[in-house]
This record gives sequence, C-alpha cells and structure tokens, in this order.
Amino acid sequence: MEASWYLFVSSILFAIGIYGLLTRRNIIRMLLSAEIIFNAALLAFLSLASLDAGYGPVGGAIVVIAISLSAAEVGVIVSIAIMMFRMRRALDVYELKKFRG
Amino acid sequence: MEMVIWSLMVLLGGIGLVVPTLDYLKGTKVSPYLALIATALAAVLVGLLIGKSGTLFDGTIRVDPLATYLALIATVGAFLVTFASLVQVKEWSTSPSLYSLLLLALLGVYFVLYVNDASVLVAAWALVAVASYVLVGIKKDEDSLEATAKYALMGVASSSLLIFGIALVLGIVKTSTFQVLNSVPIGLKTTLLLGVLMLIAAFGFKLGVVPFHGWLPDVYGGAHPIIVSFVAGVIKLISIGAFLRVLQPLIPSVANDWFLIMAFLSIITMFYGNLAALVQKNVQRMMAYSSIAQAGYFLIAFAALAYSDSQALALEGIGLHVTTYVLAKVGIFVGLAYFARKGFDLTLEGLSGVGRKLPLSGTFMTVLVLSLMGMPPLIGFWSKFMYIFYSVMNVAPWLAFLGIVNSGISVGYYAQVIRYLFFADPPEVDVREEEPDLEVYVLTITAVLTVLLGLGLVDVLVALLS
Repeated sequence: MEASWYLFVSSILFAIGIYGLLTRRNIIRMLLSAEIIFNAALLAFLSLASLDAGYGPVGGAIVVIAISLSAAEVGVIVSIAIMMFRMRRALDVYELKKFRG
Repeated sequence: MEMVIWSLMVLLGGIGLVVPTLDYLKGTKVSPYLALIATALAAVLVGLLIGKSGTLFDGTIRVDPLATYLALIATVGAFLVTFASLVQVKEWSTSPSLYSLLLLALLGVYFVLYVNDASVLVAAWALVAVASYVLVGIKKDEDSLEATAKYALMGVASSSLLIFGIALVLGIVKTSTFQVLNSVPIGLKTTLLLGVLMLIAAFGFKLGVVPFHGWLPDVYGGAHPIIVSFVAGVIKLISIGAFLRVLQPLIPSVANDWFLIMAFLSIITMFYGNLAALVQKNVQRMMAYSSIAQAGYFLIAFAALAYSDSQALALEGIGLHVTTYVLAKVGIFVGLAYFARKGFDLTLEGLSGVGRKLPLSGTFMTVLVLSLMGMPPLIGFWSKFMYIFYSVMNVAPWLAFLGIVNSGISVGYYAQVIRYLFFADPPEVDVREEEPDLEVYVLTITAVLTVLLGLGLVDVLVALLS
C-alpha cells in the first residue's frame, strides 16, 4: 500500500497550507499557502487514482484540467495583488479597511 | 439536444470572447447590445430543452427538467442584470470586459447545472469561479479591491476542497461519472463521508453556509450593487446545481449522517444570517446577511433529500425557492444600484423616504422584500412555507419549526427596510424616475413575476420541474 504514504504526505501539506492561510497577512504568502493546499489535493487525487488501472488515466486527465484551474486562479490573484500594490503601496490584506471576519 | 448545447457554447463563448476585443481595439460600443441579444437567444435555446432528458457527449452532460428549469432562471437573471447594466456601467472604463465575463460565467453556470462528469465539473467550476473573481473587482476602486481579494482567496480554498472531495469520492467510485453507489465496501464508509464533507465545504463556501461564510458580507456588502446582483442572483446557482448533481447520488450511502449534517448547518446558517442582519445599518450589508439566511432555507430542503418520502417535495421546493431567490435578489440589488446612482446613501438613514420620491421602484422593492419574507400570496410564501418547510414536516417537524421561527426573526429587518423607505420624511432633493431609467423596468419585471407566479402559476412551475 504505497498510496497511504502519499496520502500521509498530502495531509501534512494540507495542514501546512491551512496554517499558512490562517497566520499570514501578506496576500502573496496567503496565495502560496492556498497553492500548497491545492497541490495536496492534487497529490491525494493522483495517489487514489493510481490504485485502479481502469480509472487511473481518467483521474490523471482530471488532475491536468485542475492544474489549469489553479493556473487561472493564480493569474487573477497576482493581478489583484498588483492592483493592491498600485493603489496603496502595501500587500497586507488585513490593512484593508473593511477586511474582517 | 447536442446541437443546442453546441449553439450555447458558440453563442455565449463566441460573443463573450470576440466583442470586448473589438470594443477595446476599434473603440466601438456594441458589447452591451450584443450581450443583451446573446442572453435573450440563450433563453430561447435553453427553452428548447424544456421537458427533455437524457445524457449527451458520452455521458458527461446530463439534461433533466429540474436542471433546465434552473438554467432558465439563471438566464432570466443574467438578462435582467445585463439590461440594468446598460445605464449603470456606461461610465466605467472596463465595461466591455464586464459584459464578456457575464456571458462566460453564464455559460459556466449552464455546465455546472448539467454536469454529469468530474472533468466537466472541474472545468466549468474554473470558468465560473475565475470569471466571478474578476467581476467582483472590475470597478477597480478600494471597496471592490477589498471584496475581490477576500473572494479570490476564499475561492482558492474552496476549489482545493472541491478537488480533495472529488479525489476521495471518485477513489471509491472508481469512475469519473457521478452515479448512485450500489454498495460501499465496509471500511471505506469513513473515507466516503470525509469526501462528502469536503464537497459540502467546497459548495458551502460558494453558497455562503456558516461556518464558510466569512467572505460573503464583505463581497455582497462591499462590491458595486449591480455586480452583486449577478454574483448573488446567478453565480450562486452553481452551488445549488452542484449539490443536486454531485452530492445527491451519494446521499443514500450516507443517509443518516447527511440529514444530521445538513440540519445542523441549516440551523446555524439561518440563525446567524437572520440575527446578524437585524443589527445592520447598511441596507446592502443587510441584504448580504439575508442571503446567508436564504442559504439556510435551501439547506433544509437538501436535508429533506435524505428520505424518500420527502424527496420529491424537496426537489420541487428547491426549484421554486430558486425562483423566489433569483427574482428577489436580482431585483433588490438592481434597485439598490438605482438608488445609489440617484445619489442616495445605501444606509437605512440614507434611504429614508426614498419610496415617496421614487414611488414605482420603492413599491416594487417592497414587493420583492415581502416575497423574501414569505408573505402570501407572493411566490416566496409558496416556495418557503408550502414546499421547503412542508417537505421536512413528516421527517423532522422541529426543523420546520425552527425555519418558521427564523422567518419570524427576519420580519424584524425586512420590515425595517419598508418602514424607512415609506414611513419617513422624504429627503429634500429633486429626484424623480425618468424615461431612460432601465433599472425601474427590471424592478417592474421581477416584482410582476413575483406576484403573478404566486397568484396561481405555482402549479405551472411545478409541472416544468418534472
């Protein structure tokens, strides 16, 4: 059962990502933490898909589609960060006036 | 039927991608009108699918009456928002992109509603999610910057949970098509439940379910109201569609847990939304919290899906309540955008007496608010009390009771809006409803539909659903 080792790594990555998302204030660092969670999900997906010969390639194809989803999201968030830096010369999310909760 | 889906892709995708390029390069101003025509044609095309069911594209798309009905409602919502945008966003430098994103997001909403395969779900989810982050921030001012930063970061977390959930569930099902599980191997029950929980969290993020609601008041309360009318009215349908398509087949495998989870989430969501709305001074933020409360009512119907004798009524209830919700939210936020354009502050104080200065829009806003409140004979009464609450009556009367208690609480703030609109001294400014105010038409259409559908067309709608 090699898959269980990959799932173990994936859960550690998930925990690291959640920790980063909750404790960081800089939008780029928060984005990196969110990407760690995303990669943990992809790792879990691939390791579970590899257990079945018939479903495995299908799972791999879905992961490739999901990577394009993540690329699009990163593009948007980085452009938001650029807009934020232009408007107020800072990347601190919690300095935003009404940003709470 | 495949031709219809192909035409929708070419129509919405083609116009959505080509027109803004044309507008930016050549300096023309055709995108609003083409977007309006595209949504109208899309409504006709979706109308062709009414009453049909079957699977298309090698089983990756499944058409059924309920999904077609939801798609039709989404199209109506998108058409009304586009119509109101004609006067609202004329001054924005980014307005051609806005129309393009409206069309692309609408296409994504169709695919999520019709989805039957994980690959289509991921792709359509990406299309809607990324388009909506850009839409929220498209005005490029400080308020929308805050809203979009929070929305996008929460959205990435939601997409990650979606991938996690799909990974766990499909790892057990061992096929990428969403279907009812015949038997789950013992020992994998916990894994399946974990996957279902992750999917509930992912869809709950978009629906605004407490405890995943953190972004919602800032986005719905901070972005420009015309954008919020689209995000709250149309894009929210993706989470409802995903619940129906992705999670509903898994319910029999986790039946008892499903009911308890959904009942618990619906209770905290309803109470949080309604109680937090009571103390709001800003009407737009109040309506944001009211959206959270409405998500709680939807969760009651999702809870009722767990039992076979309440399932049919719950599905009809979801369809009808989507009608109520989309008409009311699109109308109310377009109305707020109208008041903002007329120079009013969107706080309760700022709106005092506006209903007397702008009688038509004030009256229609009141009708929509009453529909959300659940006042007979409007559509909101039928969908909320006669379908959603009634559907859980046999299986869990206490849940219906808590729903009714919450409807009572919600009167507190909805009545406050009506009181400030009409029973206060009108402001000393010279405004009146003029001829090119398209928002008034939108309010008229939504309010008239709300009244007419409530006055006896409910049976017609239910016939459309099945």
